[in-house]
Amino acid sequence: MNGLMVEFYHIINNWIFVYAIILMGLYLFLAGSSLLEIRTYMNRNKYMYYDDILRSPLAPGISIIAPAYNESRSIVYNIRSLLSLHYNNYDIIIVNDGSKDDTLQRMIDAYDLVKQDIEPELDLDHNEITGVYKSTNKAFKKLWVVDKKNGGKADALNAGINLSNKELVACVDVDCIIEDDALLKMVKPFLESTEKKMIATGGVVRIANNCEVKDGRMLDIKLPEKLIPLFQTIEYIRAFLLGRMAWSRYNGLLIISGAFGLFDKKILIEAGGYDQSTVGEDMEIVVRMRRLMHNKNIPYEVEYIPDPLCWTEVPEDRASLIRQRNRWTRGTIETLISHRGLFFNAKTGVLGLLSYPFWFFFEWLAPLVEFFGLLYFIFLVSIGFVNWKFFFLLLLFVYTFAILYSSFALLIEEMTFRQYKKSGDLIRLFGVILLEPILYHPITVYAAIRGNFDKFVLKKSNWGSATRQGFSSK
Amino acid sequence: MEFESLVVYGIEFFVITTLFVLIILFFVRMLRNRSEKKQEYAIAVIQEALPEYLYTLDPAYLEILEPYTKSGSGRDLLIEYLIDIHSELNGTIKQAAKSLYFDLGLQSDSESKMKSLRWFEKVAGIKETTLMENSDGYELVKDCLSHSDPEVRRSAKIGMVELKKIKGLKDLALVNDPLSDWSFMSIHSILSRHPYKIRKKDLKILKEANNPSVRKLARLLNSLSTDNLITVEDQ
Repeated sequence: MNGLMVEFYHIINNWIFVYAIILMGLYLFLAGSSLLEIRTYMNRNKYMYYDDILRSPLAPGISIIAPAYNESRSIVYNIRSLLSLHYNNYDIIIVNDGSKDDTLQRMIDAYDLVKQDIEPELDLDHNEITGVYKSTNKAFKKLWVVDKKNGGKADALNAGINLSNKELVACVDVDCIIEDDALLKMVKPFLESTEKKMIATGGVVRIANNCEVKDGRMLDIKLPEKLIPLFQTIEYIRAFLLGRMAWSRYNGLLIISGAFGLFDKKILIEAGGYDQSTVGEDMEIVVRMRRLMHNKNIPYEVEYIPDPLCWTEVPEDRASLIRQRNRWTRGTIETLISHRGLFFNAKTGVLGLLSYPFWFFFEWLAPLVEFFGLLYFIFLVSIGFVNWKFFFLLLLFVYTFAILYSSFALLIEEMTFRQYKKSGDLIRLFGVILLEPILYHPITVYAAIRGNFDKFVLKKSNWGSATRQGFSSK
Repeated sequence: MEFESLVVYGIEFFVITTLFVLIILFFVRMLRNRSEKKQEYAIAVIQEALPEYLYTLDPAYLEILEPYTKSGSGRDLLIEYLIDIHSELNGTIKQAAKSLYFDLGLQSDSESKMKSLRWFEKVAGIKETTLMENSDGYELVKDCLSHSDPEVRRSAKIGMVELKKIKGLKDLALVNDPLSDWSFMSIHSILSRHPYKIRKKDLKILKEANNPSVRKLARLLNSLSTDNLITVEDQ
């Protein structure tokens, strides 16, 4: 190897080393911050009584907006679950986004829906609405159904927001199981904030695969049986308990899960509503709302609630998982590109100086660095220029770090919400932690690379399909 | 160091770390299981003996509860269940729950919590004092108004009105710190739940309060008076 190549080799090695150290350091910082934030939350809520707010006629109104596309199989149960939430002042707007099956007819039959002569406000753009339905049965007076031409999730959410006449909107996935007290817990930060304007809150999403569910209600929490959802269980615990809680502490959240988020409707509309052109609408809207608040120079907050408030079904096979992660990657890229003005923008504080660069360097670029690092390693092996001793120890160090980090997330879960109490759950989860970096992580890296390829080379911008198993019913 | 020994060292490090993590996880689970079982047992005993005592005032039931009055966690559990009974029931049993709270000296536990340096202990003390209607603790609750933690201040504001109704509101009128919507709704709910009388001059004080939230509440009191929840008196 000539001198130039040796020089190049050292530069690359040093860059990768520095990148890895910064990444690990940030993860440790986030983990510590999350722990503090969760402890504060637990202490704050230990003696919290929601009864006054539950009964209060002054409670702010909430519209739950749930887009539905080909949900014929479960829509009736999903709505029943939403109708039984504990909150005084809310309505439910189901947006049938041009379903090709009999989703709409099922709702009409089950809830005695009748077409209304209503023209929703046109604050936000969306595809044509073909009908607005309301129940004639007083028991379902909270329920509205909007039937519209297919336009995607963001389009459907915009249609629902236009129909809403409440102060807050909860944007949810219709097939999620929402805990009874979720709205109370999510609305609390809006009511407590005095110095800053609360613009959005998010709830922790947990995995419902293999859980026992009846009539849209969680009966028994079980770990998934299949390996891929099991890996995602640890991934979700880690992401929500260690990642988002830390960002919430520093008011640096860039995303609120599309499965369940509560937003200030006025700010949401002022920001322009959901962007129909991106597949990462849940992240994009939060960033846009935050930018709006910065532009208007109004102090604001975005908060996460660590309680498990929403249960969702995750992909069970590799192909569906890759499709989902591919879409998430494209969504991240689209949001980062369209808000590139935030990159190290000191005027936007934590948003521009920490959150955006973190997502840029460690959410978008991390899989690319891993992938090109692997290619570089193969190249070094092929020319016989690998320091195996160094390589082996580094690999062991990174693997141990990954295990410790996930174990820390599991430890926090065990000390706080403790959802998986059955004997054997802990050992299964720990086994999954040991296997995840070897079996699961490469799949997510591959999906992210595919996402980048699809975005920049194939210029793809659709959602892709998802296969759902449906919740088991007792 | 030789390559082989480095490998062995690395593997040993990994195995020990993994085992250490696993042991910690199981240890934490064991501790949680044990404390949960202990608590479940205590709850079962308290849930059975406490209502029996409050209904019958039979000292035999008090003897069953006695072991729980000797530990901090047991006293906390007793307070929790007394609060539940006191908040949800009416009549003699409500009164008996309040008497027992004082007889066992639990009010001093709540007052000590309000003097604690930890903000969440203070919040707990305020909630216990107000929910058990210990009016003697009012000044301690009021002292918490100037605390640096917003949760303590919030609890104190609600607690003052819960304990002394209009007097609490008049004291709040002198504070500049505005009420959060949560506090506003809680206070509104407290005032709506308890029909009472208010003098015109007191209502005037509230309407002219420094605190904008209290001014807003005073306007709401007027509307409540039309529902016969509040009687506005001349004197």
